Amino acid sequence: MKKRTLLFAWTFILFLTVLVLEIVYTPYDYAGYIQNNNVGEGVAQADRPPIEGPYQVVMVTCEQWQFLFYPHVAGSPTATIVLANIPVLFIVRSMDVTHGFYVNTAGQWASQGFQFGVMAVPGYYDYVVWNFQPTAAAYTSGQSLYHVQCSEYCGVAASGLGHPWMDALIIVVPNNSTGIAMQRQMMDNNTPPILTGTLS
Amino acid sequence: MSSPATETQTTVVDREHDPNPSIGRVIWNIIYSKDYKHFAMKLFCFGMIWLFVAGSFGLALRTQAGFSYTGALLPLGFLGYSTIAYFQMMTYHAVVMFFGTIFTTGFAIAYYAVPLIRGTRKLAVPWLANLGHWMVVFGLYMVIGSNSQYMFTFLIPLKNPASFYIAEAIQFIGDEFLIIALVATAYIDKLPNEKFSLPISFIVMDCVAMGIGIITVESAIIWTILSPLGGFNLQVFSIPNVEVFRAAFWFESHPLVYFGAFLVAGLAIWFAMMYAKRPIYSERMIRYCIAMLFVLTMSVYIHHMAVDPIPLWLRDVFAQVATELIAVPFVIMWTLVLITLKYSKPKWDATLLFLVAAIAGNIVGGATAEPLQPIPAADFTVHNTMWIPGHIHFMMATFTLGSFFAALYYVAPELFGRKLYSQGLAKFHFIGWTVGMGALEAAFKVQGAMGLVRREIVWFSIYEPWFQMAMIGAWLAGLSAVAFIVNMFMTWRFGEPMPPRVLPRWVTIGLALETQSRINEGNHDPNYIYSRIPYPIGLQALPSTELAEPTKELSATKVHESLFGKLIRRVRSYGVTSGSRSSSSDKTIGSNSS
Repeated sequence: MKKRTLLFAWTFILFLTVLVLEIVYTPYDYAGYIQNNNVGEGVAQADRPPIEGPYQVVMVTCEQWQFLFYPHVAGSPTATIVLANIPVLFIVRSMDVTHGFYVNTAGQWASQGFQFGVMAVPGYYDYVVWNFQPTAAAYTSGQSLYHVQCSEYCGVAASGLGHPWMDALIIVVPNNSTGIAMQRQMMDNNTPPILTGTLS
Repeated sequence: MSSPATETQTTVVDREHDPNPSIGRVIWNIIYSKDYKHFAMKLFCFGMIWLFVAGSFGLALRTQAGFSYTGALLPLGFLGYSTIAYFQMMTYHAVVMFFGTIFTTGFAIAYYAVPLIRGTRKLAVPWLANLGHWMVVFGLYMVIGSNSQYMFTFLIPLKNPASFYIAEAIQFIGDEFLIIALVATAYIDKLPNEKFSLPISFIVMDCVAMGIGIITVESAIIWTILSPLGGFNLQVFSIPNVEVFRAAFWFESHPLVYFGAFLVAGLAIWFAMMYAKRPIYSERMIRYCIAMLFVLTMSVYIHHMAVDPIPLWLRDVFAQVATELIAVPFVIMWTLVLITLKYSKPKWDATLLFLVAAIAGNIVGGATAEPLQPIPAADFTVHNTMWIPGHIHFMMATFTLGSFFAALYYVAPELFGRKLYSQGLAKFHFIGWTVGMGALEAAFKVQGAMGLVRREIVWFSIYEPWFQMAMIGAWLAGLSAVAFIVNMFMTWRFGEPMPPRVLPRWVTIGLALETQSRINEGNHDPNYIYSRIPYPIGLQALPSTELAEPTKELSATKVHESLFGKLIRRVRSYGVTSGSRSSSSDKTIGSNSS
């Protein structure tokens, strides 16, 4: 094999690999793709993603230095409750500077799936969808509590006041009569609306 | 009796070479370097100063985080630490390490290599280069004194101190001057039939890409200064749109990740050839890679904005596809380097060790960039986590600074005219730096995968062991950097003098091997010159007979029997003495002098 042929073949293989990767990951490019906790690329973008089936909607307003949910736990705007196994559409905005709406699983990523996040940019709405699916064991051990924190540095005023202490809580309850009753009680019947979407 | 003309000559004072210069003259010589070597030495010294300044900030951060297991928010509080100081140090560490250590040290190598390889041996516009350097120095000191806590990404509409914006504007203008002067040095006295050798081609490509990029970020900074965010009550413009500002900023800031590495990439290829004692497998392919890298390095910037509310098509084109594609020229380049080194039994000294580790760092660092955008569904799980600092440290510490160390261990002794003082210290430096930074990078990566947000000061206890690992790694790397400086200083002052040479050996051999590669590929044109200095064309003319050794030892290895080995053997043109499609007269020309 001549050197030129070998080099051409190697370059072609590399470009082909890129193409294959692009095709392989194409399913992640639309929001209807739901695999466990991961619902794909289209879930974090400027436009409201099309979602198939039922989904819950939670509005998140970020400001220095707190997250405000709507709807939220009665008397506690930095905590909200959602049902498991129904994708949640978070509509995220910022009132002042750039923040990051980042939900993590406190190191339980191996059992809970990866954490996720999206930017809160002033002047824009950002959308992110997540399908919380804690196991039955997770409910009993308290791992269905999801810690929310700011992931984009937004300033510090003093110890205890600033970006590192900007956090919130998402409580995930089972999608059954017990869970729904708990949700309604704690949120004073002001629960996230459940809408139904169809992919075009 | 002397003639009037002779008397006139004796009265002229040669201030440049006065053996007993005044203090003022000494200071002026330091401030204003006319000689390219002097200027390169000055940049190198400042690069090392910045390494220790920025490294000190980094060590303070790692130590603070490493002792968080004590339960105290500020374990180093007795040193005057505060939460704000913690984030200020993070800002200074990033700015000074990027624009001080990496830019200045990279410029030092480039400003030394370009005139030397071309044989012009002069700076094109010394006043511009010196002015640019001192503006960078002034700007960086001003950054350190600016009390900014908002990182070098500005993070508008957070309002930085006005001095920070001014400092960054001055520093970027200084960098632009240095880039312009370097490109001018590459083009000055260019002959009509002169072409750039590989190291200079990389440097020129790099400078053009970065020069264009800096214009965009400079525009973004001036826009901010003239807005209500600037701190001067100037309201010429409104507050910049955040997304447009971030796009302008990252358009520049992504090329800077590659800027340092590309300054020495050509030299790295030369060193690989020298250690392998054979020409690079394909010089022509490397030149194609340079063109690809130029286009792609300025196209991948949006992968820093993957979870921003920007149109999806913009991400898909400029981030997803471009980030995947930029891996192609890198893979091709390192493939060519590694198959050139394969079976060559090179001498494993500090240069080669750092070179191979830098390539490994680039491969690992590049691979860990792929989840940041090409796999969008993964990106929003690790965006803004410690995964990002892990990626950046792979690219900047192991890859870029590793390439610099490789080049410096080869070039600096020639620059000083003395042999390296201690190979032992150099190897300690290699082990300390590679293992230390590797531990830090691995710890950051694990923390990122576990969801630890970057730029934090409070965290769950599950992350503490990884912070301790990062702290140990950072201190090991810091100690090894001290060994490097000591080695360089001892080489300069007490190294064994080298025999005087008209030219450093690496320049002659590099040019010869590069030419041999063109001969092997059949694209050598004797009408073109790549340097004014005389250098051999064709390896037969080189003093070492080992350079012409064929690859006959392939059969001794197991790999030889593999498909890869068979492929290699079947490439007839791979060996120096076989398969050349060029005429035999090309190989036997003794030298090329102009």
